Amino acid sequence: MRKIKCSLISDFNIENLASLLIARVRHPQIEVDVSPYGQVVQALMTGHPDEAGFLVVWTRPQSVIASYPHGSLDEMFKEVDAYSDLLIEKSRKVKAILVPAWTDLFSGRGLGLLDLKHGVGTGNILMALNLRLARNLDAAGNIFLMDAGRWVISAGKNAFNPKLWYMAKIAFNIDVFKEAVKDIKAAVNAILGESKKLIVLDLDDTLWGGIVGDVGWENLKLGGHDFQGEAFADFQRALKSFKDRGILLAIVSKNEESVALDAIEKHPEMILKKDDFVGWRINWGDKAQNIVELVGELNLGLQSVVFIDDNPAERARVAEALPEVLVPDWPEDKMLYKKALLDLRCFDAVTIDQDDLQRTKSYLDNQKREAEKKSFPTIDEWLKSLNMRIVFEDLNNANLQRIVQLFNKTNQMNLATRRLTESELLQWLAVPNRKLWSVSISDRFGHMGLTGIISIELSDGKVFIVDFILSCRAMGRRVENVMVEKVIEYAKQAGVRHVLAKFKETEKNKPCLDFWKSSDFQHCVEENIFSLEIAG
Amino acid sequence: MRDKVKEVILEAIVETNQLMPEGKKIERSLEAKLSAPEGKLDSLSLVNFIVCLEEKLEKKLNITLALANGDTMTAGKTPFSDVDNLSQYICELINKSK
Repeated sequence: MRKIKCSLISDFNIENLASLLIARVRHPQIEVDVSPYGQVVQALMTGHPDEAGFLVVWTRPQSVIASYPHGSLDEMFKEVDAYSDLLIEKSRKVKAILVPAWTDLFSGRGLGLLDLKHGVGTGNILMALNLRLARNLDAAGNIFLMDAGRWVISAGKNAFNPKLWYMAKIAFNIDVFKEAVKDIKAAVNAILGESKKLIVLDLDDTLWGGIVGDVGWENLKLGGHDFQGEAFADFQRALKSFKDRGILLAIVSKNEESVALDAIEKHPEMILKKDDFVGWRINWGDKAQNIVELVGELNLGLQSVVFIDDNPAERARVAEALPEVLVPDWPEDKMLYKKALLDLRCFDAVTIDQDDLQRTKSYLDNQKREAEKKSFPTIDEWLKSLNMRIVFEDLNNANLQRIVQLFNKTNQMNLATRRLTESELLQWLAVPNRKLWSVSISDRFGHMGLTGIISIELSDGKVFIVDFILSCRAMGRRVENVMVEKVIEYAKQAGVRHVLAKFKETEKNKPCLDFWKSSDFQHCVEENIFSLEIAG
Repeated sequence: MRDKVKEVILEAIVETNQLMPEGKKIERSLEAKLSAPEGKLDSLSLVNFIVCLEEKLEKKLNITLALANGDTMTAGKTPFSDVDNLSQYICELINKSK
């Protein structure tokens, strides 16, 4: 299994974090390199053998802001700005930088009652400095400020042990580092595009309390003046907020479909409505099989799925049959459902944009398209009826974020599966003879948004297709063919007659290989290169 | 009391091992050697172990002790050589504090 390179820079002894990061208890596996502690500025300013990897820069405010906490706020802000500049400069050379926000456990209660008083208390100053840092670091798309305060709270009263500090310059106890490791690994997964995309939910005793087939929808525990009903409603609210940030929801439940859908439509306290779900399989069949079918219908991979069910036997069945699916342990206590959901770290995203907010709608539009497809005798006629419009655009400030997101999230229709940060992409494009187009699609059902990317390099009198990426939502609609045509048209205009595409195989991009094999390009199997000579 | 102390020491070994690389983990046994040169705890891991043990003694047995001091941290005189020595030393400290 591939190991991710990660360097740690800190002003305290961070060996304990390194040890926990290396431990193989949680995906991904990480190779760690630790800079000598106390040399933060030097380490940021000088090169590093693992420049291309991830960097964690964890400092205490005392060490990087000399005037903290007794200087003026302006003085401290200047130092924060200078430190931010160093981080931003470094971000151009690494995959991503993770920066735990400043905490100050050395100051204890600070000024006590006055600790949060504006311009007076250490706590207040620390908040202002962190906000300043967050604002400054926003300038770099691959620097992420992490909430170290939450790690400290989670570790409790022993988060800081003066003995660790005085004897070994260790600023936090093991429990803080354990929490940090969970978030750092989740961040790495998110940056590498391995976050989950779909939550598949059971219904009875998962979304609501009770068995709807037995008690009827009127008697389900959901909302109202009941502690469990309230917990179920809150769990649904949390799921809805996930949906609103682009995570898809679906149902797999053993029930009569009509009875279950009746409950969703008629129960007055249902937070989630039918159109919050991109699909369902409500029947008495095997849940693992139902998940496979549902996920296939959505053009997603099983590795994108999280399955939530109150029944341990169903969880065990799905976990055994579909090892790619994440099946979290689920609490028996209904009041802990929301917490269990929020504790999952597999949904972290690098960005959230307009397309994420519209994702469920986009899938539902897709289902309407697919439903209509059956009424047309041929695919060509169906495609024609869609009045599809495909727009190619150069990279610009407006589409940069979405393009970076697609680079890092798309698995199936992805020629090279290059995972690039914003700065890496901009650096790559800065080289002459390289070009990138975004691909946006709309039709009479709606706007699917920016769903594709082509990047090319003109070299040795040939056009090399470097990236060929299309969201799974847009696959199978001949958009791929139009994208290839775009490249051919560009090659013709540039007076070039050879177009090549090198396919890099991953576990997930077989659909891309299948597309290229079905194209007019010649396949050199040994090198996995597809080539086309354009007729003169 | 000594048996209870030994049990807490073993728990501290398990937790400290989370920070130890493969091949350097301490055996979870009453015969385990702890600090270098015979044991596997180097200076950093010894600090982790001591702090962890102090926290566990407080939590499990409601005993607050300062295990690290000028005497115990001096090479040659350390009570951290093995589980048996350490448990004896802790029991002596407990008796003194009564």
